[in-house]
Amino acid sequence: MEKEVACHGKIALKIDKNILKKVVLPDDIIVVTGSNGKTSTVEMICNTLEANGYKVGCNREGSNQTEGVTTMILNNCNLKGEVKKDILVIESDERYLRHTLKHFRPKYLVVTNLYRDQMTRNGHPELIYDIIKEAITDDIHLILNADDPLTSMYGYKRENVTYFGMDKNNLSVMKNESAYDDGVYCPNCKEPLEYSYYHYNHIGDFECKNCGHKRMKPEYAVTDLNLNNSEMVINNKYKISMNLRSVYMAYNMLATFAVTRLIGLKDDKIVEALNNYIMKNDRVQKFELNGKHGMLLTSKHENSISYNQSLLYITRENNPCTVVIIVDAVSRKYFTSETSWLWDIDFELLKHDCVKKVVLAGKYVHDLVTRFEYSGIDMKKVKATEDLDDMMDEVKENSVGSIYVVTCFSDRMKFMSRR
Amino acid sequence: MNIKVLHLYHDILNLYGDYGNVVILKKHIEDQGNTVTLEKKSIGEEYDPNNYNFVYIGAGTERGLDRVLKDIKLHKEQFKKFIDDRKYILATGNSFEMFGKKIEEEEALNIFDYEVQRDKDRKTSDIIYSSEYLKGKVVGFVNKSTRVYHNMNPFFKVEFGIGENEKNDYEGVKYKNFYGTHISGPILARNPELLQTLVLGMCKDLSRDFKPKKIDYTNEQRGYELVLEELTKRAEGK
Repeated sequence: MEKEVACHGKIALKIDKNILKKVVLPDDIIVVTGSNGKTSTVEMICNTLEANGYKVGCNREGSNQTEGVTTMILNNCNLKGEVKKDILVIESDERYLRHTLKHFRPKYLVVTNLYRDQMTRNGHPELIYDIIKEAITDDIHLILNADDPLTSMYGYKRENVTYFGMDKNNLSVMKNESAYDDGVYCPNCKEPLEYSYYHYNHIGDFECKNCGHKRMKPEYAVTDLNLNNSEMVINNKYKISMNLRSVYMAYNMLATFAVTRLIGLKDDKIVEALNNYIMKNDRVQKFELNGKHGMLLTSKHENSISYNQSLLYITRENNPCTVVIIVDAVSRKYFTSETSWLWDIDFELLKHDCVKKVVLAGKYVHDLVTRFEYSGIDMKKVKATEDLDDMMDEVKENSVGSIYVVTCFSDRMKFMSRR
Repeated sequence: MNIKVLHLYHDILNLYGDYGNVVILKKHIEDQGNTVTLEKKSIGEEYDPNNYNFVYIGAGTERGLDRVLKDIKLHKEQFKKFIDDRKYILATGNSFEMFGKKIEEEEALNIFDYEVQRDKDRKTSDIIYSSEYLKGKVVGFVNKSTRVYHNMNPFFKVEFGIGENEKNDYEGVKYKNFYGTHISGPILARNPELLQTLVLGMCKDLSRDFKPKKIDYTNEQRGYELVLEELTKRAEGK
């Protein structure tokens, strides 16, 4: 499907590689990039702007490489080559940003975070940092995650930058006990970083005593977060109810608040649009199976933080449950047999009383089992099978409590279609 | 017997779940009736590899490796002795580059005579390698930015995917019990024969009376076979 969508842009760029320079673009263009949260953030920015009367052009759930972005812009043009929208909100793939931004300059660039993500293609986060940096020019106003040591480096000694971040709250921890910690050394000088707290992984309040790189005071901050009653507070003032109880969702909402505020929307109007917002993208889906409640938590393979997000969600919901994890095709877009990323996921989180049973399935189930054997989880709770029909029989017949399915775009239909 | 394992630079050379190598190594050494003391050391900490029987070092970013290089060079003579004494060391990903003469213009440990050139583009690939030291093949993934040229005894021959450089079909270095390869991540978790070869080799070296135990590693073996099958299909263009 994605290929078809991107087709117009591909042809247009072939006929005239400078085609976007001939298009009359609106003054306000927002580009969102980063490892995680792009699609959700873009969706909420669009929704907030639309709710406030803006006509928005957007590649929602769309192709986020150069051709896809070109397609979206051309589809929003009239015959005179003028974009008939007040504003463009564009999700950009991290690696393609430098190519896409040769064609136009955004007024705002949001960088959500930089994590270990699809390293079979991306190499590692510092390389992605360098690649994004090639696209950043002085005229762009940056909107950065203050809590991510790597992302926030783009703002080092820069004036036109706005930070967003999360203050210490009752979910913050003093130690990072994840499988790996990308915050041990300063991304700027590689001397030790010091943290006063963490929200998750290496996201938190950091400072390098050697070079001075530290968490900048955010202009927009989640000053309180209460997942029990699904509420977050921005800048001690704006209460927002959250439909999905997650720290990551709070970050996406905060980024949305920051950017729409900079565009000029009124605080209370932003809050109104974000309040109880239900994501339209289908990454979280509820279902019923043999009278049991189920939830699909789409998590990106090759992205440990995305998986951790799902595992944390499950344990924080704290209902007796069965967790199903499928690794059958590592990617839907390309082939690889690489499963090192399984070792970076905090499967140890499933050592939790609420987790009554775990079902592992798919071609790479043996790699999953090897990883689980070292997680300390009682292997008597774990059932593993290569065969996806067996998996479904096992879930239908022997699941305990609610069912959470944790898997990627590439594998989720292998469960959903067998229900 | 008690076997001492050192996981070096564990908090910075850890880019691809490399610690998986250490936990599975520990388990397999224990399966052979031994106890294991596992220690982790990193930048700025005192250590001498010669106090251990097995040293493991994983992969890092280029900037991370440059930082480690400054630290590991303080241990140059210790590593020379360690390797000469036929002790076991496995260096995966870019970490084995540090044992050569130079990385770009920066002087490295200079224990081996290879030179490392970094490129701007990333070279990534699923791989199948063979080795004269193993009956079966090795599977994995290479994720690097360098080319290495040397005339040493290679660890592997490339059967599928990329190798050390564009000119040769070899990969990695084996010298005494120094095993270096660009394969990234927990290669021991994925290659049961390679793991068994290292574990049994070390146990035999440490005790003449050592009698290998046969242990059932069906899950790991089946995981390996499935990946080999997938990659062989790719290699044959299916």
